[in-house]
Amino acid sequence: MLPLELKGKVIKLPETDSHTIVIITGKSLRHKRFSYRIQKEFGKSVVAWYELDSDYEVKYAKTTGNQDRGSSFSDSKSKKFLRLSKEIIPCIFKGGLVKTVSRSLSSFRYKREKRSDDLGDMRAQKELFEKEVEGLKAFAVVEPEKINPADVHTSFFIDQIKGLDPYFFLTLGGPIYKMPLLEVIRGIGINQHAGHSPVLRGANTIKWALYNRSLNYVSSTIHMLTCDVDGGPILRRSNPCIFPHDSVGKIKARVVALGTELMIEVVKDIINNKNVRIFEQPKTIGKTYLSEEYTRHIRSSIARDFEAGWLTKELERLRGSY
Amino acid sequence: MEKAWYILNYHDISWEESLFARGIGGTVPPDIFREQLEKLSQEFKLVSVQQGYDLYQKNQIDKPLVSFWFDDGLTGVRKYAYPLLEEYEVKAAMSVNSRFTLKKEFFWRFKLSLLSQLDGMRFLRSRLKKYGYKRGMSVKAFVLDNFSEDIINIIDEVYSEYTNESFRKDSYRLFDAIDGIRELADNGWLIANHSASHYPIAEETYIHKFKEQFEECEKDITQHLNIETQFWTIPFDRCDKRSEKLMETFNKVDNKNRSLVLVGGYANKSYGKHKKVVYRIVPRRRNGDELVRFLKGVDVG
Repeated sequence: MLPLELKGKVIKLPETDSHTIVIITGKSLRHKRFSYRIQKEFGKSVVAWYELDSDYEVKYAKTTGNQDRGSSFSDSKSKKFLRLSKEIIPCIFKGGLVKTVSRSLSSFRYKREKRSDDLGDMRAQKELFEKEVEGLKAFAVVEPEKINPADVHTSFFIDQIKGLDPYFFLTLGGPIYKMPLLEVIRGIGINQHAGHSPVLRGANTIKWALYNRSLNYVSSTIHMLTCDVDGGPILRRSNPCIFPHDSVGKIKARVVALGTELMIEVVKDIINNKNVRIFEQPKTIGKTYLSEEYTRHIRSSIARDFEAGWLTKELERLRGSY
Repeated sequence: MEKAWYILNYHDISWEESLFARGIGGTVPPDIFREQLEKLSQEFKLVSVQQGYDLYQKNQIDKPLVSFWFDDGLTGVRKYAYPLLEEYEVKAAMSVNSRFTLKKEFFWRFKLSLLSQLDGMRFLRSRLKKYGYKRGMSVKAFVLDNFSEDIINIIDEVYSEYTNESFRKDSYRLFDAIDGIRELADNGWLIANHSASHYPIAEETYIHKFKEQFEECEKDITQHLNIETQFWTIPFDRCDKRSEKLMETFNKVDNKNRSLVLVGGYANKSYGKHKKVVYRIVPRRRNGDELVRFLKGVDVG
């Protein structure tokens, strides 16, 4: 669907005979599905697939000194040790032992819960996508090339993208992309955001919609890639088909699956027609959430709602209440 | 499991349930449909509608059979259901409403659903008052019970006030175009007539449009697909609201020995008893195991 509340305008993209595609994804199953689906639909037009992996070695950023937000993905063990020795140990000696222990415990708890969320997400993705992804591999035209997110803004990577001369630069996950990279895209960069832009941007937006008990804000937004977090002009947005007994992880996976299909639709539309209707996101509407804002209290509230059968009842209400 | 022919009646198989469909239901996500197929294939023989119908007509059903039938001509069916059914080498049926397929008219129930999700009901309710609508009534039920051209126009009026032209034009993407329907037909799917605009033409309020609606759709299908349909599928089969004149009207209009497709919620068993009528079952939102369990309790017609 097109966002009804926003004002649209038509922009003209450059004409071309070569609709080359570069894909950037994370490394989980939903990201792989995204890439394989794009490859199935557009075949040899896909010229490269970069898979962001913070466990993969930083190749270029350290040599150019060009590390930035991307490096937050790569908390190596040595960095953790350094932080421990620099921050925590002096604090203990300054008498803040109780505070330190309490902070460590809450950090431990946060990590444990995050890990449990991640496991839930992985389980959901496995259930939803594993068989499909196996089948989709037959249509692959490129192999994933691993890259550390810290390397994304290096001149080396930008030159590599420039060399590939992409018309489409399609992303699912990853850091904020900066102008030097976006400028080398011949046609358009498009991102898939698992959230209802402009109302909900940033991290954990599906969970924020669930926390607010607003299923109509459980959405996928396809938008132009800009330097704003999930803030580029919107191309398409819609809601996923949610099943009454879905877990939070499953709902998120469904949103991503929908976003992938919407992305394919948008790319097909642009290949056929270079006049594209876009919807600028007003800066004064909505909120960009940081991952730290998704606290224990929010997580427990959602869990309580799900345990009480809220989702099933809400789906029924939306269907039958008019 | 009864030795009968169970026809499952779906609408869309899709990852998407836009605000147009959310107020209706009937969409099943592809992963759940895949799971349903897996479980059904263990308990039933999956057959095409044509195979099932032939056995039904000859009273030769000697094992539990399942067929798949999709209504309204929605895009997700070709995109997601078709490849999954191909894995099981089974062909399904698709009932199309020609005005949706040809982008001449948008589904009025989709408009209603969208308005219900966007706070449009307050305007609709106030405009329906002069037709007898009273506060507290279900708008959904009221418009079906009092269906008329005026009511269709009111819904369209409010829908137009709430949307803009580009939005309305884009929304047709939910319905497959004629090329998509042709692709299904070319690959062995049965294409059925679901009337031109999905009005409640089996009910007393609108049965006078039965002939006109089915004949328009038939003409469009013949013209664009070169197909003469064998099945006419009733839109909005509310069993308790069916007009008593339904069979009489159908028999008067039909001159090709077609069958009338209803929901009804029965499995088909003895052709003689329900001559020219085929029943279907709505699977609702059930996973594979739940669906099989549910079908075990379904009455056989």
